[in-house]
Amino acid sequence: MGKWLKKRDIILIVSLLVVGIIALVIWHFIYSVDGKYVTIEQRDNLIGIYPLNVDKEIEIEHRGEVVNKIVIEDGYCYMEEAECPDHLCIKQGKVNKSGQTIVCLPNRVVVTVVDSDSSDYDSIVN
Amino acid sequence: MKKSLPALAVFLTFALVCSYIESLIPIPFGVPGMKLGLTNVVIILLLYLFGTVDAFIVSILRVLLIGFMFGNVYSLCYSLAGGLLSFICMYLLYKFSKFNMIAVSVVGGFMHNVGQLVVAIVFFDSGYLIYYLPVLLITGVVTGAVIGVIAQAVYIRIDKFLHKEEKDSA
Repeated sequence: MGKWLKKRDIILIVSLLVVGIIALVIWHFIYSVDGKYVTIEQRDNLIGIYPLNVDKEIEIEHRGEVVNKIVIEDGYCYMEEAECPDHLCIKQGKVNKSGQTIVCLPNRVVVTVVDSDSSDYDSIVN
Repeated sequence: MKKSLPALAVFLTFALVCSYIESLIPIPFGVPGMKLGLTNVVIILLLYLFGTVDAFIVSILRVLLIGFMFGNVYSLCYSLAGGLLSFICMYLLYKFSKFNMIAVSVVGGFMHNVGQLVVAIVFFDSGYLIYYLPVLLITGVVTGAVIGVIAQAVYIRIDKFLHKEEKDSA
């Protein structure tokens, strides 16, 4: 300390941390509603909208190869397999709250939990 | 150490090696765009040792080179956005305030994640990605602090070495 960190440094760092924690708390309240459907998009195209209460496996293809395998099970949705180097999308785990997403950046696949199948479909079409 | 092209090249190589090492470290959390930011050690050191222009050049070059070697067009754009925003903020703090290196690095980590997320949202045209903002902000601060401590420790040693070199040549 002392030479490495002065009081103003600590204040700056702590305030940035507080901003993050406040955001985390706000987000926690925003994302507290259970969603009913998941929308799956690949490269800006809508693949489909699936109800969360029906178990299903969805395979996403790109150039004839299956790049992602998404599973809906017991009201939750998760990425089971992915043909990408980092497998971050699999680590994102199970989602079921409205607004939550699973993103596979390399394959540009986005899974989003939504409240209803109609309103969101419109917004995507738009 | 004199400012020279070879010296800059060495620093750029350091940045690339850091980036490679980083790609070997698995990230336990599934947050897109999250990483340690080891290369930022090199950028901060350059900023303090060689000045703004050189740090900026190396910063852009490493993003481009890493993008071509390990990434794709999209990861390149996220990194570029994050790298630029982070660099501008670090430069402003370094130039116009009396904050220490660790604080500069924390702001860099914080803004890097903000820039990256904004570009990802624009690219995916999906505001839903904002879901990851709080986690990215917090991890940006934490990783920025770690990187800042490393940079500070290295800087002190380089500085000592440089003074010794000056004495020897005098």
